[in-house]
Amino acid sequence: MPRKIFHPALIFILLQVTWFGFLSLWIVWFIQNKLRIEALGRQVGLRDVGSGWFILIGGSFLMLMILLGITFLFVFQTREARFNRLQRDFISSITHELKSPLASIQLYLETISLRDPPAEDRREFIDLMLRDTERLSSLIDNMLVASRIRYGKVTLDLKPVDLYQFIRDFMAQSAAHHGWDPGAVTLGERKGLTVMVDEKYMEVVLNNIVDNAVKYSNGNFRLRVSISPAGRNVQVRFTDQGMGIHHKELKKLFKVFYRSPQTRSLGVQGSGLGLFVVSHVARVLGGKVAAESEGLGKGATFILTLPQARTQEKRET
Amino acid sequence: MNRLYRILLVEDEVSLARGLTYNLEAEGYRIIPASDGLAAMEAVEAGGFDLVVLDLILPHVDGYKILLRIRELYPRLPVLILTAKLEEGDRIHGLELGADDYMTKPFHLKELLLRIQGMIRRMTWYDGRSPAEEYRFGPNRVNFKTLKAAGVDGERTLTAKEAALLETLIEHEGDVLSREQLLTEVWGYPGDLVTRTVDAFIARLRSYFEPDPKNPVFILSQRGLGYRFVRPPGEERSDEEEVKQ
Repeated sequence: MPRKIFHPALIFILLQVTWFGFLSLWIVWFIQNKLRIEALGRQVGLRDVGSGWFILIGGSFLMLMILLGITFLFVFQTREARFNRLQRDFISSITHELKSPLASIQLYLETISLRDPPAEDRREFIDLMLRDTERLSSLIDNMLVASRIRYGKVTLDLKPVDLYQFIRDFMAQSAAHHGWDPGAVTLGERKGLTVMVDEKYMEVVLNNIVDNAVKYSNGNFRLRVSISPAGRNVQVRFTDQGMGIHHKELKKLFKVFYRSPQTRSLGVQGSGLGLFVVSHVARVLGGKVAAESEGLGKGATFILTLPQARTQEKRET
Repeated sequence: MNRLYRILLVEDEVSLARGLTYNLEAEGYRIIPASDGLAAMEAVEAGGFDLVVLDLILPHVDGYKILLRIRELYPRLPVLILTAKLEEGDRIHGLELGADDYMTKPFHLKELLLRIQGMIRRMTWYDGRSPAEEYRFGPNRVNFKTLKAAGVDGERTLTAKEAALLETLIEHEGDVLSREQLLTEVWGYPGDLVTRTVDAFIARLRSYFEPDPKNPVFILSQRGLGYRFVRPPGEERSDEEEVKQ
């Protein structure tokens, strides 16, 4: 309770109200007494005391400027504070995200050195370690891309790519690297739709979308991917059967460092970078990304829209 | 080991859980795995284990809640927190809620195995103690066999670590023991890695046994040196140590 009373925004508003009240009192007092001051002036022998209006208007204007300035500073400072808090959360979650795979790699290396396990076990441990290095490397990719986006330093190496083939190859590779069942993803065949993309960035985008679908799947990872033309664009829909998204969160998800309260309370770890990276890379490639969900527990669909490559004059139907 | 000890392993990272299971089984422990908070809660309710290795960040139910439930049901059970959370506040919070030890990821395998071994040894050592000794100081009574204690806030059961710390202080009555000494004697590892651990345990003991934990009369701090146990004036050592049936 006492913390709420001393909330900075409340103090700020109270101060402004008080201050504005005094300003109004001053104006009222001035208007009420103007005639008397003029009369007094005439008695003393002054001919022109009309400049009082100038003082009133000038004074009020000055006060308003101060009010605007203070408001601006307050808003700026509040935003800064919120961003700092997000960044602090980000650092603590990113350390967790980095430490977990690292802990696992260290554990397996020490196991191998301590126990000299049989070849079969060693093979399994090496696969698990490779999966962990893959996780580390995707996370570092995200951090790099996010920082390039923030500083506007994204340079693209654009190539025409058949989207269906690209996604098919990506899924096969990702299943092998991250150890999920390749049968969990169904990709509707739709050849002949070409987009201009930077393959590296496109992989980062797909990686994040698939990683989220796995992470928020409640252990039941299923992803349906469909590609379709949409006017001059190509649309890819990624539909999962995971924990879904609250309608209030649908837009916030793409903000940097944002993590929804549901994922936090469920204890699902993440850096808050993935979807920020996805939406910005999509934008840099001339497209966009959006999220749809019927609500919590009802799965989610991510829709990636990219412009079709110009060279593709003939379209198959 | 003449008996198979069962460890409840609460860890949601699949690859870490696999590696830990492999190693603990190689040491001769039986593993009961729990890969999220709900599974862990079910396992805790079902019981039948001798030690818990607990991650704090878990899906569905967080580790602190699980720890609280463990303490409600099994006051003496040794609990080792194994987590990537590395802020001092998390450590203290975990220890305050009744964990016996705390390790952060990434960790050294041998150190983890040694700590688990030490915790099990402590526990069996208390199990194996012969007659029920009751130790009294001021208004407090502690039985180091059953770990039952009656203090200023009523009856409770101490964890093995709490009992070990209290006993070590009592054994060295009047002498100042440094945090490092206590870590070595009670937790079994040297160095000043986690000296705040000792402080958290001392705070716990004071809240059990001191009439006013802010102005302790039994477990005193020696600024810059460590802690020391004293009896209230007028209590003789030999008279108080009664051996009850």
